[in-house]
Amino acid sequence: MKKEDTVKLISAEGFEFVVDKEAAMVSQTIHNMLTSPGSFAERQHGEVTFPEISTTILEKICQYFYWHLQFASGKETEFPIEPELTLELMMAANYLHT
Amino acid sequence: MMRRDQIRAHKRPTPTLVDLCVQKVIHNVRYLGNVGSFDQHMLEQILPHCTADQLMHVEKSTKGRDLSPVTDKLWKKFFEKQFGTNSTDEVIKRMKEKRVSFRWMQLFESLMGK
Repeated sequence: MKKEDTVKLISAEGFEFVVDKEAAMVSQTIHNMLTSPGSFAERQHGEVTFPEISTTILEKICQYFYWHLQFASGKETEFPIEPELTLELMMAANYLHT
Repeated sequence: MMRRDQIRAHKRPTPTLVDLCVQKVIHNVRYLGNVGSFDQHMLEQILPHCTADQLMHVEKSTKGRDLSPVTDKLWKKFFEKQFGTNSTDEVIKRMKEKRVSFRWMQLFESLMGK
């Protein structure tokens, strides 16, 4: 993976997830952050921090990004969601327009 | 035989993560409590799946937020189902005559209490 093709997503606790830009762009919010004109720090450094998203939830969101790409390319599997994560995940997904 | 792009055009769109979570919440709606932080569009999808008891629990658990923009029409339905269309029309008529308006949850609760 070339560095410019990836983006680093950082959770509230400071855990870093390095994912393909293509995957992260599944989120409309991240897409806007990374493509909007101007000198956004996110765009310059390819890093986005989410002070309100916990590591567990951010990990699940990254899994969804890749699941989304797979699904869109025709591999229609179920995306598992643990009941105890559902509400927090829904809020985060809503924020990320995902 | 269909071409590949034709097949693609027919397949269902990829569900968003919000959609998937909303489906999960609907499936487990009996465990739902405080929904104060939910956006209205989520509530519109989720709350119609509640029974009257479940919806009452959600209303009582959600402090500091008025859910009636979403739930008033649901309570009206429960009211109609419980007490019949005639009673419902009668209530509407009386409220008009007296120029007052009550939430359907209040009306439901007060008649259930009798």
